[in-house]
Amino acid sequence: MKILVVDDSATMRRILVNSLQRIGYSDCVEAGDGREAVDKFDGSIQFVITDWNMPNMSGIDLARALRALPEGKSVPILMVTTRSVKEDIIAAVQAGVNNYIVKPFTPQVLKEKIDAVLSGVAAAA
Amino acid sequence: MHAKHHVELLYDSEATLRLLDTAIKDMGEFDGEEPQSLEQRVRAAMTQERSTSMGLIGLSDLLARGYAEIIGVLDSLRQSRSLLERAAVEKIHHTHDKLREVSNATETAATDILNGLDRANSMVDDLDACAAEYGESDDRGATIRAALRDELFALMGHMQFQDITSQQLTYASAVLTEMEARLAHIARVFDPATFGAAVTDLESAPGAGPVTFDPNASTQNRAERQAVADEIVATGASA
Repeated sequence: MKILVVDDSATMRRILVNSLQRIGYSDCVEAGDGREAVDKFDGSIQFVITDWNMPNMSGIDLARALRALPEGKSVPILMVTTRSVKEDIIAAVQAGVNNYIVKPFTPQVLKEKIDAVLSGVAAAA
Repeated sequence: MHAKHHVELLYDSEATLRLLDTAIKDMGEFDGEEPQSLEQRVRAAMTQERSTSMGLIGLSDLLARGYAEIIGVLDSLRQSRSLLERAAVEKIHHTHDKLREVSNATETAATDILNGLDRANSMVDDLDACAAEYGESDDRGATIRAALRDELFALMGHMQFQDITSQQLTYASAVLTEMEARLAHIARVFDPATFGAAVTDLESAPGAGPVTFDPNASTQNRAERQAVADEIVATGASA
């Protein structure tokens, strides 16, 4: 599964990519913000993990932008962010985010959420 | 010639005394009192004259004191403005720079630590390769290497603190930037050179760009905050 990892922090991208490799996902593409993610998003991307607060284009705007694309309507989106205010989480889900992880995360939580999203997508298909 | 001059002088003196008498009467009436004699009238008039002059002198003194007070206040405002500008320009900039320095240092340190963890992981891989090549009498080595790999991976996860503290520092920096703008605004309001002129509205000042930090970023209570997210996701954002 090809995963697009979007975060403006190089440290976080590295931690996410390492964690993904650790749980069996080694095919990762990185982007530093939402705009770069939209540019890199193509038909080969099967899963998107994104931060919220980023320059140029935020994670929530990225979710809306992807949902507006024909090839992005059904791509699973997992948000990994420090934002944990209830209204923010609701806004993210309404923007099309499939699941939500509050930083700092553990690899176990990352795996659980990816599995939950994939099983939800499979059930909906 | 001399006789004629004396007559004219006497005539002028009489006329002057009559005028003076009339003036003294008028002054006496102004004072609201009725003096009994010419001497009393003259004294009263002199007193009245002195008091009227003193009134004018008093007003002049009052204006001079008021002017000095205004100058003092303007000077204080000038000094306050100078202090505000110094606080805004020097101290806040310095603190801002320090925060950025700390943020950059933390990011550099985090990268160095991650590089070190990667190298340590490679060494564990090398140990695995050696064990495979030369063999081991039991599986204790393999167990220790696996535990070491877990520890290294856990350490990598802890490096998320860098992203969170970076956001906290960026937030602190943004607060300082806002404070700087507000102090500069107050300094402009207190500028004696522009008293009465329209001051630019603080809200219309150019912004600092898109927000790239979470003001509530925290390493605390992760499980509780994740539980809130899980509940909302489970109910499909209808919570």
